[in-house]
Amino acid sequence: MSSNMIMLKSSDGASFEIEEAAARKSKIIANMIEVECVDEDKAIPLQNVTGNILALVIEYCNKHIVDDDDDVATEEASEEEEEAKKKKVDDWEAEFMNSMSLETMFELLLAANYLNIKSLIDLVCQTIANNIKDKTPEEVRKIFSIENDFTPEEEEEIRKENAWAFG
Amino acid sequence: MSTSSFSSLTLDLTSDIVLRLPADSVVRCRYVSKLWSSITTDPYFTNTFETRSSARPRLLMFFRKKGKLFVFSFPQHNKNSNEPHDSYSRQHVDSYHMKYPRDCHFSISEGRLACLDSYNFMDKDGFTLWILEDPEQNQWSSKHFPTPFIRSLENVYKINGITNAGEFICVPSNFVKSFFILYFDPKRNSLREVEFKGIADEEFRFSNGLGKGRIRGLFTFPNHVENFMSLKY
Repeated sequence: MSSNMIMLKSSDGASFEIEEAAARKSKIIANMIEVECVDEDKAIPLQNVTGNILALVIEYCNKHIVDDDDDVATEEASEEEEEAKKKKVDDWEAEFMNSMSLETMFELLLAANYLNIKSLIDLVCQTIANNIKDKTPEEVRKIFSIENDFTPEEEEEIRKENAWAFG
Repeated sequence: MSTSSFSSLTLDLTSDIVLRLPADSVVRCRYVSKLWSSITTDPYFTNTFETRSSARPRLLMFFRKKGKLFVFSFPQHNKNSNEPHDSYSRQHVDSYHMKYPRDCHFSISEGRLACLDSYNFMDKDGFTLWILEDPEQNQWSSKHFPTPFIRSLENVYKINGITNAGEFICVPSNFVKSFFILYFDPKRNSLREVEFKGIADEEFRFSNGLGKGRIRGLFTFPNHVENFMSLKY
């Protein structure tokens, strides 16, 4: 087991040990492993990811590598079992996302994007979308720290054209 | 709280988030900033949105009351679902209310123009579906289906559309709060029911001044794919 562990180092200097199989969820790290630029004694420096966010990424990867193993082991599983398992993962993901603030979600999204973990990008984007679905443009601006660069006249024009969406 | 992470989201990620929103939320996003307006009106965005949307067709339902047209959009019941009975509640509903413009007429199509001999199952032994085979020759073919209902439902339900999967959608002629939509598969001669809860619950009735009476004239429009065709600049 220990031979398959690799070290990751966050931008603020925290070191994390992670199973190679879990780390391979990141296409970037998987590529680094393929081209053998991973030194067993040296941690991989991740300059764009802080320790607290990296801990979340690793928690996600660990959870999903276990699930992938399960899938292989129970290829003959019945449809019901498959569904039950999928529900378990969905429940875990819901709770995982539920426990963090919007600010953390954005940082996690940037980290997932940087490390190229497709399923995590999907999960975080969907959660943020669910969060802003019923928000007004003003509230969305606040969440994304966006400045309103429309003139009042332009704003009025758009509202008039799309009145149905503001019902 | 570092605001830098929000503003440093790339265009791709912003677009990825907004693509997952329902159509009315996307339109509200146009109003956030000029950048967001250009992201959401970009042809790449509108095409991708339509492609994703066509994978999950929706059922539009509408009724008129007090001079307003109420339109609801639901996920269309999946034919492949093994569940004989599904239910949707208001949480899953997008609703738009608009002033009701003029009398609406509803046609039914199945790739070709199709027409039911009657919206009702009043015929004792079933109903006939006419399909326009050749528009130039004005040739119609007809298919007869036995009524799928027990006698007591015949006066309550009427056919109001056909899904892409070839199922007839049967809607009740009136309702109070919740109701069942029936999907009739003529090939398998089977019925499935989907319950819609709280379309006109007390809160909704109150905020729209609908009173307490039964609501009549529920119409459906199946296989609706959300897109921005009419909204492109």
